[in-house]
This record gives sequence, C-alpha cells and structure tokens, in this order.
Amino acid sequence: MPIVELSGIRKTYGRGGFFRKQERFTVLRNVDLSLRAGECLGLVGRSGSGKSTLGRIMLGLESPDAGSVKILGQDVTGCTRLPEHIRRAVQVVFQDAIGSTNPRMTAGEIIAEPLRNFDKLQGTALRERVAELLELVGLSPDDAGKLPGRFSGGQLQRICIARALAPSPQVIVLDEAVSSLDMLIQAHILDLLDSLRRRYGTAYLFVTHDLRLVRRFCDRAFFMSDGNLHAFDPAKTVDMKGSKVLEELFNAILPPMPDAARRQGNSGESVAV
Amino acid sequence: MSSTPFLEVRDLQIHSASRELVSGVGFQAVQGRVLGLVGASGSGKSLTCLSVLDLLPKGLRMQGQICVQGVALEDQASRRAIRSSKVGMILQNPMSCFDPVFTIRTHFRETLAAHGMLSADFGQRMLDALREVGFAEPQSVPGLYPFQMSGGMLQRVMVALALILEAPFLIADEPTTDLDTVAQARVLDLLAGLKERHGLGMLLVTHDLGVIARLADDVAVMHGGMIIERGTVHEIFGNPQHEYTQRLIATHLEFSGYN
Repeated sequence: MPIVELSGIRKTYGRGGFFRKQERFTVLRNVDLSLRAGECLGLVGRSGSGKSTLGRIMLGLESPDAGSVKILGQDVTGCTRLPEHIRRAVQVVFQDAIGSTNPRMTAGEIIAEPLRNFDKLQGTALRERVAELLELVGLSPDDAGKLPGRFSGGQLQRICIARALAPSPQVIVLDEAVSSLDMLIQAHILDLLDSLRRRYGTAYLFVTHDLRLVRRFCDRAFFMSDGNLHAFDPAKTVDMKGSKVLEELFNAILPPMPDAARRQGNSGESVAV
Repeated sequence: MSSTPFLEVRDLQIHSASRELVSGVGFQAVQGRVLGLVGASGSGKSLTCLSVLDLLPKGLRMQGQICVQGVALEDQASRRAIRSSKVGMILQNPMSCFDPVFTIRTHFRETLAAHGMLSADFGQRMLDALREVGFAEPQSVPGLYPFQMSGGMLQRVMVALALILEAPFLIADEPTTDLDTVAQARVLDLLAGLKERHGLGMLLVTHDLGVIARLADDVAVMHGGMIIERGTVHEIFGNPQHEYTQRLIATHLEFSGYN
C-alpha cells in the first residue's frame, strides 16, 4: 500500500489582482503520484513550476481544487486539521530555514517540540534525544542552548532537518532542503537519509532543481512542466533530448572541472542571457 | 597578475564577545580576475566579505588591515566611503534586498541619490544598466514591483544596481544559491561576461564548487575561520593539498558524476 497517494490533483491560483482583475493560473492539472515505503522520489522543475505546491498538498497544508489525497490509506482531502498520527507520519523541511524557525526558541527547544507533542518526552529523556539528533546532523549537543540567530544558514537548515527526523516520520517532504548546504554536509545528510530509508523504510519526496542531487539520491524521478508530471530515469542523463525543460535543466548543470568550464563559457557567450 | 592588488586584506580577525570567528585571514584580489572563497557554512566566508565594507552585524569586532588600490582603510568612515563607488556588493537573497512597496525605478533613483550621482540622464543610464545585465526589453522593467519578478530577474537587477555606480570591483556573496539551476547558469554567464567586457574584479563567495569551476580564476579555501589553502582554480581542482580540500573536491566530483 502506498503511504501517500495523490490522484487527479488540480490546483489553480489567482495571480496579480492587487490593483487589477485577478487572472487565474493553473499550476497543477490532473497530477497522479504515489509514494511507497522506502522510496525516494525526485521532483525537478524550474522555479514557479508547481513543485512546492505539490509538496504542500501532500502535507495537507493546501487543499487541491480537484482530486484526492490519501495518506496512510485515509482520505484526507480538504481536511483543515489532519489527525495526529498522520501529522506525525508526514514531516517537512522547507528551503527557508530562517523563516521556519522561531527566533525566540533555542535550537534545543525547536527540535524538542515534536518530541514533546508526539512522544510526550520530558526531562532527561528529552534532552538526550535532542542531543542525539543534533549529533546525527553533524552539530554538537552544546548547540542546543543557542538561538537561531547564532547559527549560519547551513547550520540552521540542519536543525530543521533534525526537527523533521525527531518524530521518526514515514514520509519527509524535502523542499529544496539541502540546496543551501555545502557539499560535504549535503553528502553527509544524503547518506544519513539513505540509511534511515534502509533501516526504517522512510520515504522521501525530494523537491529540487539540481539534477546532480537527483542522480545521486533518487529511485524514480519526475519533472514538472505546464502543470503535468513527466517521469524520467534519474540514472540516465544522456537520454534527455526529448524534453525542452529537462534539456534546459541538464545544460545548466555546473561543470565539474574548471577546464571544461572555460570551454563551455566560450560557447555559451553567443546564447542570449 | 598586476602589481598592485585592487583589494588586499591582511591579517583579518573577527571576534564575537567570547570567540574568535575569523583568525588571520589575508588575501589579494586584482581587477579582471575572480577570486573564489569556498568553505563550509559557518567557516567565516560571509563575515570576511561584510567586514570589508564595514557591514558586520552588531556585537562583532574586527581587527586587521584592508587596503583598496593600495590605500589602507583605517577607520569606519573610509570603509563606508568605498561602498558602491569602488566596491559593489550583491547578496544571496534578492527577494529580501528590495523594498516591496517601491518599483525598480525608485530603487535605482534612491541608489544614485545616496551616492550623489543622480543626473538628468538618469533614465537612460538605468536602461543601459538593465540592458547590460541581459534584459532584452529594459523599458518594461523599471515600472515593475519586486514581487512581480522572479528571483533570477531580481538578482540581475541587483547586479545592474551595482553596475550603475561604475564600481570596478564586485563582492558577490552566494549570488546564485537561492536561484534555480537555469537562472543560476544565466547569472553566472552574466558575471563572466562582465569580467571579460569591463575587466571587473570579483570576490565570489560560494559553497558550490561548480560555481567556482565555472567562474573563478583563483581560489581560497576557508575552514574554521582560516584560509587553509589557496591557488589558481586549476591547482586547487587538479592537485589539492589540504585534506579538507581533497575531501571537498572528491565529493564535488562524485556528485557531478565525474570519474
């Protein structure tokens, strides 16, 4: 049984309209997606293509205009407040770490929040679990007492990842979660997520615009364009001539070595910026 | 390399109340070349950049010497005076650098007025700057509000704002981290073009070695508040010496599927 099942999802936003008549803008047309235990699903596309909207619908943060959302076999379409066991099972890491942490709470309190709410942990047990989670993401247990303002962007993002891991969820939506981290930390976090997946069957929806990460991390992958999902094989990067969107993303992959870069730079000059 | 470096930082130290965040950092950057500063998050890359223009957050103190075109900037006022006139800066998050209630035109006018460079041909100079950063039809841009533009467009407007003051040197702090890959490639092409056409010098801070490979000529690697290794981009990629740099390069090549 899939953990999350989306079928026939359609979502339209009103755009503009502050000073003039709104125009309707359809970001998702008839999207079907299912996510099984232990699976990592990559979702790529340019910004504004509806990747994040799909993630938010999966989390129950937004309700679709049409279609149904099933989490753990239960239909939750249009629920304003999801049942507790589902809220616990589905966690998220957003791109904007500063915006998703409360500046008045210490790192320890931020990570402890899901543990207090879902696991009813207290006292020493709570502190030990927080310390363990901090170490898991490569931070020190001493960091628990610091406020978010004292961390760099990448460190704060790791605190958000620790918070998402805290209640041992079944699905994590990673919305550009690692793109602001440096590569060694990226590799560390991806290895960590990989091992959780093997051990506990955690599933991931990995939203990104970086094809390098999809190639490294995902079993199946989709790209979004014009509100539709198109499947592609993450391992194959040669066979991408078919789609304009994918080709564009593929051509924008940064060069591994400086020499190749200079050559690419020269040929790229003629293309309009 | 030219004989006098455009920007020289000597023995820079930055302290918070109790801790030394940056210790003994020094580098030279020349015009027409891009110096890349790489390192982990929290290694002091951004603080180093901010201290050059006296933009450090409250509560942090700096020591050390900063020279621009061979002239030492001893006090706060002199470091502030080079802002935008000699050294422009572009930051990571374009969305939060613009005021959402003002149009792009107002941003240009304000920037020029702040530096006493507002003149009658303001409109034309603004359009030229926008064309320079790759807007094919710049006439439509000044009337837009920041929220009507994408991150990649705003980042290019930010480069245009830095260019209009004709600063010969640019500090770019993670200029493409928040952009999608296609927009990132375009902004990097733009910066590479500016270097070639105008001989712009650049201090480029990033954590992505792909960006370094694309744009940088020289590289300094920061780790724990110090520069642990420096060299040309070919030396660093081809023959990294420090153990941390070696791991960084190896991970980067593995991610890029390069064997």
